[in-house]
Amino acid sequence: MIICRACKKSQPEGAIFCSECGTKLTDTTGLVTQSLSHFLEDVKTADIGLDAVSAGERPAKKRVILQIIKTGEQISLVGQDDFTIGRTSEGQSIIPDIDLSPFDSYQEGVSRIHASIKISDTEVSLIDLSSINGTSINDIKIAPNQYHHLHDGDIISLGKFKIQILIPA
Amino acid sequence: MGSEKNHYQILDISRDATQEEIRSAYRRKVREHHPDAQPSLAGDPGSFLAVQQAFETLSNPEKRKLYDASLPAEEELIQVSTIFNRSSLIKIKEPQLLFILMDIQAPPQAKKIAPSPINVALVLDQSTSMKGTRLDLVKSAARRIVNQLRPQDILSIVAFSDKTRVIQPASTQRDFHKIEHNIQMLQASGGTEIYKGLAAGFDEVKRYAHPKYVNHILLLTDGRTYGDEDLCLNLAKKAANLGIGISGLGVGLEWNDQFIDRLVAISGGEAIFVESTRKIEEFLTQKFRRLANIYAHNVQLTYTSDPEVTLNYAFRILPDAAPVPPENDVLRFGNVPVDRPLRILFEFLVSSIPEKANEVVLMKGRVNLIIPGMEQTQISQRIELVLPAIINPTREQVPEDIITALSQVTLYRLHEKAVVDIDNGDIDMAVERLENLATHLLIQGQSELARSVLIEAKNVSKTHALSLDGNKRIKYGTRSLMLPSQSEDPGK
Repeated sequence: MIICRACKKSQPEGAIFCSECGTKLTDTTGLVTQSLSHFLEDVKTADIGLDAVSAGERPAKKRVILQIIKTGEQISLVGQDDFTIGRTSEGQSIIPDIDLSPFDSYQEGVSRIHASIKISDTEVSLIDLSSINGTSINDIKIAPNQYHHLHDGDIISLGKFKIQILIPA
Repeated sequence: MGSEKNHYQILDISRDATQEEIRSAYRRKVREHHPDAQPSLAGDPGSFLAVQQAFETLSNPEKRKLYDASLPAEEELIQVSTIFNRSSLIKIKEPQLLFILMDIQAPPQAKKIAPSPINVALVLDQSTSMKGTRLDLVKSAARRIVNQLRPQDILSIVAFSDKTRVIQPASTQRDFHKIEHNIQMLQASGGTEIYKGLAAGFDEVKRYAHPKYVNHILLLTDGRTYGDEDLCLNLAKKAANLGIGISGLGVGLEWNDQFIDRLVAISGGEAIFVESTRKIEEFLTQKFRRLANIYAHNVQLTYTSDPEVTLNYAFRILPDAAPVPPENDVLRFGNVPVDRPLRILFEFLVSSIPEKANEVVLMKGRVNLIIPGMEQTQISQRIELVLPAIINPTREQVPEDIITALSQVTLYRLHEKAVVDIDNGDIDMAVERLENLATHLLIQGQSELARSVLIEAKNVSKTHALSLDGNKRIKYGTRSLMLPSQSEDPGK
């Protein structure tokens, strides 16, 4: 018998995904990158479609920079519409787009897949992916699994880990 | 010519037949051919002798080997390959799961064979709700399909509401002007009585329902039928037994997805959700292109398993995604396209393995299918999925193809389970599942679908039910994740 680490329900021997909550149960690596490359491809084809309709008329995508408050380091979010944020540990199968493990994020309570930032032409938003310690925007805790708008200068906390959002005009 | 038949053909069995199959085929043939039982055949003692001779040779393994060597090598007509998630079962008392991915595909030389002609009935809903753009788009799609047909194809068109009209009877002869005119005259009015439309379509397809054709009924509807569901399901069974498949295109939000899913599953057909009216033409013409590109149809698996084995589910992943419900130990898989495999994911639950058993039979049986382009259209291949049971197996890497397939089927099934939760009144559980589903979709980069799921989760906690559109969007959305991206669609 296997106990799912996410929902604590029991699963029969040999199960690979939890049938109750969908979490992957074994530590075999491999799947992760499939989603990302697949996604990038989608973005590309979507771009081509739009360009064909209105070449050059599209507003430029928002540029978003994450500034780690503790160290002042900046991480630029480019090339995708969606970035998952979290940390990595040994044997982990799903790796976040933005890996905070070099910044002692574990001690600060960052989950492996903690939150995701979505960038569109008009807005930037944040969603907490049911993390253990939760996410706040400007010290106000946000509900999980819902999008919340982000503005230039907002400070988000993943657990106790603080990041400032910079959206240059 | 009787004299040209080999022993296998005389007994009507395949080259890989087991001794048991040879014996039962022999008994059957003896009954058919015996002069005492069938006086009408008494004038043909040759055929009875041939059966005797065939049995004598094939029932003796030594003689059979020699005989096989004398036959020309059999051309491989279908390739069946399987991957297991591990190479052995664990000998334990508690239940364990096992996964198998099966590919059934055309051999490489199949591409040289001319694609099979189709015999399709297009059954169009013209009830009041189709009024306006919907019916206009259906008309233009029908016109385009008529123009794209190959000379050998057979098309019939039936329009139905609470009345039924055959606009074009099944025929290779086509008067384009007349069809064009009849399509143009279609007007939306009346209710939706699907059985009437299906029955008329069935009658048209049946007239030419020969194994040399890909026989199919394509139903396009935007509404619910009331009271005649069972009639429809019975008709689908009758059709499936004649090798006629049924697929359904549901337009908009009102159509009954549970009913259409059940209807098409009987023959291994496809249910297609056309969310936006603008896409009617695209989906309909694409479906025709797929039908015109089929290598084998009516693919079924008949099987037996050891008593401790339960098939939890079978799920078709290619060429389209849909659950395959078993019926009386027969699984109907649908079609094998010319250029991609038919792929099925199986989940087996193996309960306590008996002390003495050294191996477990997960499935033993035959894949039967029809290849319209072949001289002998009925093909049958034996399959045996057997694994050893070991006390202490080593840990193994799960093949990536299985993980990928499972990760997607798991998402689809989360929605399925949420539907069951709601039916059972367990709203909190359903909401939790939908939220989990949304999280997994986000991780996979499917933010649009994830958003729909989250909206639905809210809906469910408020109204204790899924909304019509949300339910379909999630169900067919999670299914379509399994398919290769649209850009890979050949002929696009």
